[in-house]
Amino acid sequence: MEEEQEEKPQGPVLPERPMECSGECRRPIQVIYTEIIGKNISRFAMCDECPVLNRKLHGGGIAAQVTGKAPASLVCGGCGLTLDEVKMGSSLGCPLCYEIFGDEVIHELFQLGRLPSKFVSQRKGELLHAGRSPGHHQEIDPSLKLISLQQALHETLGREDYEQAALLRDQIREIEEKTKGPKEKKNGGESR
Amino acid sequence: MAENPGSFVSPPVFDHPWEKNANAIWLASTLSLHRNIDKFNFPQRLDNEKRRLVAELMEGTLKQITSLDGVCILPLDALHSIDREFLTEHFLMFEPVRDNQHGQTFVIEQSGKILIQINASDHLELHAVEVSGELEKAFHSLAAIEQSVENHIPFSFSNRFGYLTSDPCQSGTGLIVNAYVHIPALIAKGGYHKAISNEHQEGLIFTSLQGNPEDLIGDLLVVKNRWTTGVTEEAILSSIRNTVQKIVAEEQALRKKIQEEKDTHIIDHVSRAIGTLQHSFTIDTSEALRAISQVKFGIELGLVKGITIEAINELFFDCRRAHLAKKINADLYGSPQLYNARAQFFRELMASVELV
Repeated sequence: MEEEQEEKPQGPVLPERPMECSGECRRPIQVIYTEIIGKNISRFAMCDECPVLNRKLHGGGIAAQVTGKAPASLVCGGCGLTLDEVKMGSSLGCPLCYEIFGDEVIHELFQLGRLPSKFVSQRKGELLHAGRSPGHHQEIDPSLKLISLQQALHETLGREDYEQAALLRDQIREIEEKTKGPKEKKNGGESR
Repeated sequence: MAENPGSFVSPPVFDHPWEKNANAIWLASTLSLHRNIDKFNFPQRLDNEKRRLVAELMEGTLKQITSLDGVCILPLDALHSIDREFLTEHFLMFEPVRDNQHGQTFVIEQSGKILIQINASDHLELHAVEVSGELEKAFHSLAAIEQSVENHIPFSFSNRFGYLTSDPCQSGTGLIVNAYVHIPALIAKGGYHKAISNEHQEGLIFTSLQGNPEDLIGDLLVVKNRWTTGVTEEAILSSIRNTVQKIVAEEQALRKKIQEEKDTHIIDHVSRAIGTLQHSFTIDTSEALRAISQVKFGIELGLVKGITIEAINELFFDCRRAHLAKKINADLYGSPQLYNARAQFFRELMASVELV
């Protein structure tokens, strides 16, 4: 956890715990990659499937950095980000990147499992967005909690766990009473 | 560190919603909403001058928002390392605050429940923490701020992708929800994997404080949404809520069963955890969290007396580096002596704790 850092009282204090891949993957860290180019030593913590790691191990990345020449590639006119950088897992640089690299971005999102499976057979240019749009006010239904409790109750009854069902029923009743009568603020996360 | 640690948050400039929280299983949740200003490059690709402009624009706008109840504005470069880490711990942020970027600013609401980051990975990142299972309420407080800002500053949005963020994995709704659930019974009795393997849960990620789902430090399970794009805000909130509710129900049922059985293995674990906290002379965060978790479990099962659930819940924070250093001696931050001080802190606090 923090052991490494706490032994070094001097200098900038490193983040306490690099928990997830520093690329875009957000998966647990499996690989620590140290790269030495001339006098520069850089260290990356990555997941084992990270496109950045792949790139570093199988060419392109280091050579391109040493020579300073990236291979010819699609470039975003807004911020100068290249397609290669996108494939390496770089963050996008500007709104225009989403237009220029749109299909690549969707491909990456699929690879990482970050798009619902209903979009697997999506056509080029299909709209993905389902949430709020600018200018629309959004109200989340306050009965969401009730619905999820009722679902839990249904499942509990399904596996014949009547004791648990009784607990859930109490919570449902409590919410229903609260919404009827004068409201009283209460810890609503769970029954105690 | 050319600094005087402890100067900013002591006395605290904001409240501590974690205090006096007696939650048994669903300890807390965090929500974040990511937005960028239209027609501007994202912060990583902005020069210093433009980043400063973004910060000024955002600060000016946020000051006018009435739904924010008293804010303090803290430019990142004015903050000591200990304060940055304190904020990371307080707001349960998975990623440590990145190294100084020009114009990077924190705006914190007096309640200590809302943190706004300007010029981090996106121009505007709204974070909320809540401890009462009221996800929808917390979402509304973020949405209210977001919509007030949007009235003044247009956000970058495309019909295809939704709201655009520097990390495409956060685009669309830009909404990330994390729920923190304490499940020692499910772990002890082996029901954990079953609880998280359900066909309706493909849109969720199950992980731990350190990102490894196979090693839940402090028996804390983190449930977060896998998708931000292609789903509605409502769907994200309800999938988290449904799953957490089910896990809470299973954990509750199992605890009841354990209580009736008077399981020797569980009593043994709880008793050893008390021993660890009462007799260590040096202890790291991870070991402390594991022991705290077992003591908390023991209290819930009626096996332990001498400390309240509120006090134990607070220890989940107070054992961590920046919180601990702030509490006992800020000079110890970053020093190996903090391990010894942590052990001493627990020895004193746990002195009168014992098995029933």
